[in-house]
Amino acid sequence: MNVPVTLNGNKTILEAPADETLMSVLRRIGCSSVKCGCGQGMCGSCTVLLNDNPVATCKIPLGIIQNADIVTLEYFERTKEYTMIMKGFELAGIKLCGLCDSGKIFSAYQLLKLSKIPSREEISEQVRSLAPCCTDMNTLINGIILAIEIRDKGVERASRKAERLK
Amino acid sequence: MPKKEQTVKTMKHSLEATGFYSDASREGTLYAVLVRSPAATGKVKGVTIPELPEGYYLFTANDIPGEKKADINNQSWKIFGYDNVSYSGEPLGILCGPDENKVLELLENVSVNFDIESLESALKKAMKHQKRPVVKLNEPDSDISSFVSEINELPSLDTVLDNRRVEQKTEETVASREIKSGVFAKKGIAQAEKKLFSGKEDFICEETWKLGFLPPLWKETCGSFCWKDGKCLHISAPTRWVTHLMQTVSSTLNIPSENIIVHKTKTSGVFSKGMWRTSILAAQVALASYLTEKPVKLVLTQQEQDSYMAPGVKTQISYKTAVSKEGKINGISAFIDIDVGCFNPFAQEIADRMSIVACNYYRPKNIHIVTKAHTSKNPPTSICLRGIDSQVFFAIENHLQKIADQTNLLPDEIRRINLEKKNTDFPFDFDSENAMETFTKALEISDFNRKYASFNMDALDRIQENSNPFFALPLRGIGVATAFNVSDYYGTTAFPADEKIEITLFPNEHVVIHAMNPSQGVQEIWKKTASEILEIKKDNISIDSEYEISDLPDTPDDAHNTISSINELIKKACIDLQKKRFHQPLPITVKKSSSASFKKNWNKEEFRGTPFGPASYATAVVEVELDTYTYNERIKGIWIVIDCGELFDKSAALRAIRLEIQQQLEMLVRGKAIPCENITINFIQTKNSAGQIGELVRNTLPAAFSSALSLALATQLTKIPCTERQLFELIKQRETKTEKQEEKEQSEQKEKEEAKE
Repeated sequence: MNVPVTLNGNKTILEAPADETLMSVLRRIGCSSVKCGCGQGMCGSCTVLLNDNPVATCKIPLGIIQNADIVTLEYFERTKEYTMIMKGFELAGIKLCGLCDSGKIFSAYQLLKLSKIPSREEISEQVRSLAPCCTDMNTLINGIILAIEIRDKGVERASRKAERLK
Repeated sequence: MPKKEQTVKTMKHSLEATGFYSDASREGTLYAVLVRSPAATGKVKGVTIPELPEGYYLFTANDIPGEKKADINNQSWKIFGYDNVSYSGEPLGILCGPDENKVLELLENVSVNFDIESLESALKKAMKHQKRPVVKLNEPDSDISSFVSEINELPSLDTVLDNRRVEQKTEETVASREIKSGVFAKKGIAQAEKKLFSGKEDFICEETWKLGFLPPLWKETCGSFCWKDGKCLHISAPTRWVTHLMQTVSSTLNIPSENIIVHKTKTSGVFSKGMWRTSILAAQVALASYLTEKPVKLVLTQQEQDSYMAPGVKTQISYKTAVSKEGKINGISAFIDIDVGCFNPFAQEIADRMSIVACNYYRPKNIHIVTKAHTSKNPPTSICLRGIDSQVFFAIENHLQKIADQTNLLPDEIRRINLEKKNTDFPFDFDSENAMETFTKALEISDFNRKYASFNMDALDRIQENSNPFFALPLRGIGVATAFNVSDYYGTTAFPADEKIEITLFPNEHVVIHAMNPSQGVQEIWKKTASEILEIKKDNISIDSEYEISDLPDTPDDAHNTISSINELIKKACIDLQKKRFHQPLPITVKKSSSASFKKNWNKEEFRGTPFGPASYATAVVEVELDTYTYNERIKGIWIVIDCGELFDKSAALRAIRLEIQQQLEMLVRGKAIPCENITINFIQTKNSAGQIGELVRNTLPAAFSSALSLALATQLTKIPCTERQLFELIKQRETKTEKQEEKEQSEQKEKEEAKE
């Protein structure tokens, strides 16, 4: 099956059987930020932005994503949101292992997009099922809070908040 | 003072793990799958495929140009199975080709041909469990009665089979250890058992415990990516034992190890059980790449990972204790049964470590510990150097809880009484003072004794009234467990603790620490230590893990205790550097290695003394709530108190412990992660040498959780991970037991009344 999509800003055609998962198709064409994790749509290792929403690609068959806009972490790294998130993570002491990066970063992005400041509980709800491979939930929540702080008040204020959170 | 000669090293192999092997790709890569044995026994005659398209390959043991077996710790194991199969799923060959889906299709057509032996073995096995049925007729005088009696008189298949060709031994003891002290050593086992367990003691407590392992799903599965580049064979693999991988591939392909370049990729630190098996996998892929002269990639499926790579040794630990009414354990008899699968080159090490910690740091007067490791038809296993003791801590700590239940004493009292250091005859010398401190603090911050008394009374009421818990309020329980984590095991180990480091100070104030690359957190600690002593900025310090082939460490990464001993070496080296730096021209290099002095207290031959280096201690308290309608467990609170000596970076340590708790919460109940919002972690800071904190949670949390759940259920939970069905059945069993007891009591009372009348 030929599926036209916009992948990382480029219009392209993905060629694979309709029931093949988006994860294996993307990995085959070299998107190595999409990792194969639990295969159950839970751990977040295979997350991409599909029409600006984070989704687990191990549960998405290629046949249903015609004309969708797909953004993988390789492309997202160029955005200012990525820089904010990574700075927030750094201030919280997070060192991502590489396997879970896309799940954690795109979950943070989803919260960063909100116009309101999410509560700790709301953030916890969003990241609850992500793989605990390298970062505990409390630290991850701190990282996201600091990323939001950077967006709203700048790095300096966020650094002070990071000290308090520690 | 003679001037040290400065040489610049020719860097060849980096021990720094980067990237993931499954992400690696090269043009013309062939995708591989393993052809596995469909049966657990039998002699393989051949592995064939009717038609193999061009560009697709199938290799078996017959294609190996070098050694067909790899050496591991003075033992050997097959690269690919041949002759007699060892377990169901044993790799017999590797199939590869350019199209991944086509390779999977072709795998369906591969046939594994067995000798007649396999049929005989299978029949023999089946007969062991099922007797030949005897046909009986309802009407003895029917027309077919003579035919039926003829059938019944036919010789049993058992007698027809040629026993010489049937595999005789499937289970074999491969390692054992026996430890005796007190009356067991003086009077012999039979007499000691008679003396201790014949009813003179107030309480005899007996139970068998099992702590299983749920493999996490968020790890990259094992595998390897190999490619040839001129003379060199490159191997990208998630190995933690580079030298072994190089030696294995070198002997399999019959090529010099200088021509093998290993690209070490990231591994998850959580219960890494690959070790030698990662080397075997790499050798299988290297063979395909070497023979096809193309890049070959093998990534195990999640199902393969769970079935063949993830399971570790299966342990069942039985304790029998004689306890006085004051709670003193007068005698302990333990049997540790270890199923190591069909092969484990480290069985003795595992048996020894488990025997040493079998009593935790309690010191009963009389002990008899028997540990046996045996083979089975399960996949081969390796050693998980970190977390090796957790199964024993689970057993002993739960057993203490059971003793508390039986003696009606608080778990607190039982532990305090048995921690007394009066017994000088105890074969191992552990320092338990620090343990007591963590214990006291954990009980205090969790309000343990009050909660325990209250939940215990509630449980007793439930048993007495035999109230149906299904329509009750949520059941509550609280449990405690205490354990230690060791560094530098001196026992009969295959991996001697001989750490080496080298620090160079350059004229531009740049410092390079040359050592095995640790985790990011430990790197930060090393840099901090060096920066404080040398008064140099942390950014000017780097860690280099590149070794020449001849200098590569022989031991796996996990055998190196990065915090305790190496940090001490770094301190010493930096102090030396600081002394020399203003008197000698730069660069200056200082080398340090661990001294043998502190191994003196361990008697290897008699298996007595202090078998470990500095230990860290932890006590965990867990409070659980069980919903009686849904059987969902909820952890109301976790309190952990840790004494790990000198703490270098408190916030990093906190993060590490919180992460380990979160990982453990995914492994307690099958199929779900138990949420817990209320986690309290306390560190007791002392000036003792720093100890590893890594496995303290694994050593304490499961036991505390099962003790808490046992209290909530008013019955004994002996296995983790548990399931909802298991809990349901436990409650049912307890109810039936109580009903039977009641009936018995009633009938006894009736008899008494009748007798009076």
